[in-house]
Amino acid sequence: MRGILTDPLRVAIATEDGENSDVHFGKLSRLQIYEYDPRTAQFEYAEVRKIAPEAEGSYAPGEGRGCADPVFMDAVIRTLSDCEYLLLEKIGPRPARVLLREGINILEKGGKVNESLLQLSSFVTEKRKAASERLTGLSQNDDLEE
Amino acid sequence: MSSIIQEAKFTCALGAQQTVLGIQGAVPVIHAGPGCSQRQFTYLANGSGYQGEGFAGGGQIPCTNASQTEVVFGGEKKLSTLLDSAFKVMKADLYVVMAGCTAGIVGDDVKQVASDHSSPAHPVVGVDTSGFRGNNYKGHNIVVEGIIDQLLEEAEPKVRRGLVNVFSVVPNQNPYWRGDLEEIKRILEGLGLEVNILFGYGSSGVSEWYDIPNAELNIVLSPWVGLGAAKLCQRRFGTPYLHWPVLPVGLKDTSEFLRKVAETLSLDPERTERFILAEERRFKRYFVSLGDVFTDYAAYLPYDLYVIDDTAYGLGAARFCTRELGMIPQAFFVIDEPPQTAKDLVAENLTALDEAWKGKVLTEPDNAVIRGVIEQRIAARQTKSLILGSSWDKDLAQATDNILIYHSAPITDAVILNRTYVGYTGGLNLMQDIYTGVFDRHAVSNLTHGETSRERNTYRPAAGSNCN
Repeated sequence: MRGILTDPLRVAIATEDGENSDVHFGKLSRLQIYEYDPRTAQFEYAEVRKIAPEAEGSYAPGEGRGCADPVFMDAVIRTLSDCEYLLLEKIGPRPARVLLREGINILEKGGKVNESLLQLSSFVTEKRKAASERLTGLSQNDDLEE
Repeated sequence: MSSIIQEAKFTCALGAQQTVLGIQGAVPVIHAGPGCSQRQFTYLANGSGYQGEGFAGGGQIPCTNASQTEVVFGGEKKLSTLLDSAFKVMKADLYVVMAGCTAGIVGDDVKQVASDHSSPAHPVVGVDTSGFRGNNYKGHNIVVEGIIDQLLEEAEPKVRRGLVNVFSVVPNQNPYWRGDLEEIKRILEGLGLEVNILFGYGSSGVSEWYDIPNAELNIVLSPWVGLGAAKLCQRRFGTPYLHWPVLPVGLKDTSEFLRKVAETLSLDPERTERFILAEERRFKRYFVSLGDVFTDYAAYLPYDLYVIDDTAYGLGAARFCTRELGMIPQAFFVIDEPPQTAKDLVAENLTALDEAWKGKVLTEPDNAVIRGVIEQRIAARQTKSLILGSSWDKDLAQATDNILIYHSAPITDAVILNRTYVGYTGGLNLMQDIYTGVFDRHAVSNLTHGETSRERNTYRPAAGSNCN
C-alpha cells in the first residue's frame, strides 16, 4: 500500500497528439507521464513512454488489442506499474478491473489533457490534505486500544 | 457501544429505492457506485420474503455505476446521459433520481440534473439518499417528501370531500406491506372514504401522488415515518393531518383508529358504527372459536412477549398481544433508530396500556445484541415465550423451544404475498400463526414418540398456515 503523502504520484495519459485524450484502450501505445509536485500542488510533465514493442504486431493494424491479449495486458501493466492513474478516452469494464487489481486507477475522460490535469491535481491536493489531517489526528490520539 | 452491526435489521438510505418501486409505474434512477442498488434489492426484496422485482426493480434499475472517474471529475454528465437513455428504454410515469454515497460526497446536484431533464412526458425528481444520511426509514422520508416537494410544486389543491392520503408502512422494509396497505385501504373504504394508499397493488400509481393536494385529510399511521410528509402537505396545500402513532392490530386498536378518523372527518356515525360492529362481530367469532385451544393447551401457550421491530410495526403488535392475548411484556427492541419524540410516543402508548411495559422499550439496531439479551432473559424466566422477530432469531427460538413469528426483516425462508398483520384481518392472522405455533413449533411435543424439534429437524417458524 502506497504511502499517501510521501510516495511519488504519477498519472499516465494516453494521447497521440499530446493535447487531447482521444485513445481507446485497445489502441494504447503512447503515454505521457506526469508527476505530482506537492510544492506547487500541480502535475509536472515527466516523460513519454511507449507500450513495449514486442506487444505490438500480435494483431493486425487497426484491430484493437484488449483484455483478451495477455501479452498486451502484461506490457501495459509493466509500463504503468509506478502510475496511480491512467487517463484515456474509453476502456471496457474488464480491462479496467484488471488494471485496478494491479493498483492502476482508471479515469475515463476525453477532452483537453490540460483541463483534466488541473481537475485531477485539485482532487489529489484535497485527498492529501484530508489524509494528513487524519494522520495528525491519529498520532495525537492516545486511545488507539479499546 | 460498537460501531459494527453484526445482524442488520435495515439498510442505508439508498434502500428507499424500494419505496420508489412501491409506487406503481415509478422507476428509481440510481447515481451511485456499482453494486449498491443490487445489495438493497437482495436484502429488501429476496431477503424480505421473496417479494419480487416489481415494475422496474432488481437488475432493471438504471444506475450510473459511478467509478473513480466520477469521483475525480464529477458525475453529473454521466447521470445526464443515463437519464436520456432511461427515457428510451424504461417507460415510466415517474423517474426518481437517487444519489448514493459517491454522489453525495462529490457534491453532484441530482436535484438540478433531474429538474433539467423533467418534462410532462418524463417527470423526473432528484433526492439525496446518500447512505451516510441514515437508514432506509430516513431514506423513505427523503423520497416521499422529495416527490411531494418537486412533483407537486405547482399544484393547486381542489379538495374532495372524503378523500384521504395514507402515510404508513415502508415498502419492502415492512415485509407484509402489500397486504397491510390492502387492509388499511379496506377498512377506511368501509367508512365510505376515498383512499390514496400511494403504494402497492391497491394503488393506481403515480396518479394518486398527483392527487395528494386534493385530500381532505392526511393520515399518518406510524410514530414518525411519514410525519414530515404530512407536515409538508399542511404547509404547502393546507391539508390537515391526523397523526395516529398506533398502527392498529386486532379488534380494539383498529376500532379505536376508525372511530377517531370518523370523528376527525365528521363522518356519518351510523354508517361508521355499522361497519365497525360488523368487523368486530366477525373478529369475535373467530376469537371465541379459539376457546378450546386456550383451555386444553393452557400449559403450552406462550406467555412472555419479545418484540423485535420498528416503532410502527412493533407498537401495534405489542399492544395487541398484551391487551387482547394477555401476554406478559418482556421487551420491545426498537430497530429503526427513531427520533426521541417517537421513542416517547411508543413508550407512552405501551405503558398507558400496561404498566409492565415501563422500562422495557429498548433501542438497539443490532439483532446479535438483541438475541443475547433475549437468551439471558429466557434462561432466567423459563417461561414459554413468543418472539415477534425475523430469520435472525430462528436458531434461538429453536434451541429454546419457543414460538417465533416472522414479523420484521430479514425473512429468508418464507414467501410473502398478501399476508397482513395489521387491522382486523392482521389480528386474526397473527392469532392463527401464534396458536399454530403451539403445535408445529413443537411446544407440544409428540408424546407417543417423544421426539423433539431438533431430532426431527423440521422446525420452522410459520409465516403462513401450512403445518408440516
